Amino acid sequence: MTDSLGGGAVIAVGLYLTAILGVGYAARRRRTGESLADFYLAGRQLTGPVLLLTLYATQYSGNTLIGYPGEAYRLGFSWVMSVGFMMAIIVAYLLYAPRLHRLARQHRFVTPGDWLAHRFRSPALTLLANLLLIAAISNYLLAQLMAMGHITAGLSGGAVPYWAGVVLLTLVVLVYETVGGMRAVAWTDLVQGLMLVTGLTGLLLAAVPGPSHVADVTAWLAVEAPEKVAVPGWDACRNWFSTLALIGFSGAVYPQAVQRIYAARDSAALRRSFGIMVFLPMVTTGPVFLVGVLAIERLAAAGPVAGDQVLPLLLTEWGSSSPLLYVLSLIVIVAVVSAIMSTADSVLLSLSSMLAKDVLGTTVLRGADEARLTRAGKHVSWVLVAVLVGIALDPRITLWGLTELKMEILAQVAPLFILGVSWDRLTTRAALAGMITGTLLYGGLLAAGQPEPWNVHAGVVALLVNVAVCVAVTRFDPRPVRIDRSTGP
Amino acid sequence: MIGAMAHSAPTPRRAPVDERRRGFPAWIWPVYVLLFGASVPWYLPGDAPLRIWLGLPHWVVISLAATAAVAVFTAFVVHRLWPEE
Repeated sequence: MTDSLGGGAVIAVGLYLTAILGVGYAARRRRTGESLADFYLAGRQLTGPVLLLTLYATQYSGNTLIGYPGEAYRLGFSWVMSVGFMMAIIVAYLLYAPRLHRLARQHRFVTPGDWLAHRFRSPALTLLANLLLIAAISNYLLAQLMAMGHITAGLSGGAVPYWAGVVLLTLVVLVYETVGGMRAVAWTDLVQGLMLVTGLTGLLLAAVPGPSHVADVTAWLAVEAPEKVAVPGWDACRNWFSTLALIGFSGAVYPQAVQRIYAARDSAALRRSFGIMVFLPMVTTGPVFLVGVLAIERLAAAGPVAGDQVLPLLLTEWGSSSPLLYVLSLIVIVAVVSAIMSTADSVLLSLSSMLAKDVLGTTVLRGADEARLTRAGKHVSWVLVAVLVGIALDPRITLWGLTELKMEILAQVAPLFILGVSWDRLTTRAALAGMITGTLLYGGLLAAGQPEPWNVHAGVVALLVNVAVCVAVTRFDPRPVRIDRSTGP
Repeated sequence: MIGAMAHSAPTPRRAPVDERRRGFPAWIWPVYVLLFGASVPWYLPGDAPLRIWLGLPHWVVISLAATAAVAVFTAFVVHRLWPEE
């Protein structure tokens, strides 16, 4: 590592990784069998702080701590939208989570595909939706792997190469995820969530040295970069609304989040978790946004800085300025590593479950018992990660760029969960037509070089069309779906 | 269904399981639209002079206040209006 952060950072991260592996091993000792529900949903017994912090640590990723300061640095105060769009995810959960939780317990769902197969009874729809979900969250996992490399390379000034960070941290995640499944992931998320909160506190203390500092920087920005403090114009506001919709609807249907809704022990646990989760953007993306804005002034002498390098540069600078800031920087480093790993492990587990149960379990391993599918899922994880690490070693896109791509694909699947749960009349044909139309439109807009027509995300435009098709086809479908009232849709 | 109930026994104190409310009441969604709408400063003139409140531009403070209202309202919704199982 660098002279400023040096061996302290190596020791702090090393201690953290050792602790995480210990927690993963402890979780393995609590397993009750080799069933899919035990491995992938922790036996459907998540409750209290474990459920809350696994939802929290999963929702806030490496991108939150590395990509978001970069966006605030680039956009200025309008990145305050990040507080609202993370809250929009919780609001979108309310559209479907209470009922889906009940149905999941009733029908023993394990993967998001189980819900789709139950609701729509269409192998084609389930397959296409699974492909989109797998593509989207593979992208998300790739972003986490890249974040692992960026944070190690950025903080070490290149002494620990990008590839070494990717490989080492991925290996640790693979080990505890393979031995302990969802229980290990949730328990490590508990530790990682607490580290994240501690790190954010450290970040805020380091970034705001005095009570008048924020006002001073705001006044400085008004002179030096007035576009970053001005009231956003209508174009920017349209993009803001678009981002609220995109992140809200897409973030609520992350497969790993859907599986946590399945894994909650009861609706009271889910309710309590959402009741607290909704406040967490204010103490998570809020401080990160502020740090990114303050970095505009702090890093002014360094010239233009790439978004992904803002936090690593700040940490390196703080680390060399005083012993207190050095310690705070170490805490933030561990928090960043925690945020990255806690998302990577959840996404990997989710991918493994979908590939094992929904893909292998319906093709080459059709009829295999659950223990065999669970073992297959673990093997699939290793192969998948090997492929993604290969891609991550040659990064060509920023973290926020990857996030937007993933979100816009997920948006085309969101109606299957949100409308599928809340609107009994939605027909299979309508849902399939909507998803295909939305996906093709999104792809077409990207191919035409229109990622944000009228400053609205292409994925949001496609989602609007997707929903319109769902409504129109349902209304004119001569063979409406038969609703099983005893079990819900 | 409602008509049939009007001519039969008095309304039961609790609806049968399948007839109980299965989602949140519809009125909460317009409230969310209003609150999220207030969190985006589309209604403020773009050339408004900069005013600093609590060290931040005034429109940022307004946006954060609306966002905080979303959180408080959601806490109310999940604790008081959660659909029964």
